[in-house]
Amino acid sequence: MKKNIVVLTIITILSGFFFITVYNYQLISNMKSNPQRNSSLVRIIENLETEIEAEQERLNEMRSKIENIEVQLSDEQKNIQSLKNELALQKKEAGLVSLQGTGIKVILDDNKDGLSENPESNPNNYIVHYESLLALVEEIKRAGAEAISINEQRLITNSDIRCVGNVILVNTARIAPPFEISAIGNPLLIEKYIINSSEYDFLLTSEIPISYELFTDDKTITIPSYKSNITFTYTQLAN
Amino acid sequence: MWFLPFLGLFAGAALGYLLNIEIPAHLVKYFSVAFLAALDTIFGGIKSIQNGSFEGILLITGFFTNMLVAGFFAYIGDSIGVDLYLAAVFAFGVRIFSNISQIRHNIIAKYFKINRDDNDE
Repeated sequence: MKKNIVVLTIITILSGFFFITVYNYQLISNMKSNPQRNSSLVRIIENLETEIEAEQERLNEMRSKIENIEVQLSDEQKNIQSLKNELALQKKEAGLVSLQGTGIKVILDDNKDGLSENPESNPNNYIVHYESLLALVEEIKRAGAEAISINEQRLITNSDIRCVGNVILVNTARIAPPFEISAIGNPLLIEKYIINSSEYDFLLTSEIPISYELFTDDKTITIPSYKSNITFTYTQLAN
Repeated sequence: MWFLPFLGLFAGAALGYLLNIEIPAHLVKYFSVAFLAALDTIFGGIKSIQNGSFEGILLITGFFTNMLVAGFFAYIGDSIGVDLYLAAVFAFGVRIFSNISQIRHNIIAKYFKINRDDNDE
């Protein structure tokens, strides 16, 4: 009996040993299979994280680039703005924009009544000649006017007022009476200059209807821009 | 003395637990088959003790022979791609059940004085 028990005990020891060994193996393999999946998931996550990091870096780069560009842009815009301002100023000075301000409007017309009353006299005594316009413009200029136009024709540096046959050309545009000379400047000063000019006296004595309208503080006069083109054929910028 | 086999079971389990042998994956089959062989031998041994036909040498040799043959089956099965070790598992399983059945019969017969037919389940 004792021997039997010993033999059985040996067998049971082996049995227990085998059982636990296999059990352990299964346990470990079960545990292993999950960590493997976990590790693959972890790897995927890590890869994604590195990807995200790379993308974020790229994003940051882009952002800094955009920032630089924006800074440049704002600089350029500032430049552009100053250039625009300059251009606007130049245009204003060149007469390429319409302007408004206080000033005076001088209106003179042919003496039609006088001509019809005296049909035999020389018609030249009853019409406005270009010299009168020229003289009045000269007076207005001397009075410090900043912008002048005659019948919506802006006078700029190379404008001319001349007579071709029986029409008056301003800026090569034909104009007809009544003539309206508009000017921006000190209205009272211009008025004084005109009234005191010999041309004004002459016109009054010639009975040419002449009148003027003052545009002071609350009223402003608008002077149109120069519409024709300015061509420089022989001119170059001097350094 | 009857508790010694149980103690042995726990001692073996403790040994296995303490040694914590990491067996290679392809040897797991052999160990499980060996476990079944040991279980079969234990129940066979208990039955033969009850029957009074217990022979230690027979049991030990039977155990090792069964184990070796089962291991061989498992190996051959692996080699030819058939799970031949299942045959050993099946054989051991059937024997374990029949042994348990006989042990139960014996115990019941012993305590309840029931006349028992030898081949009755």
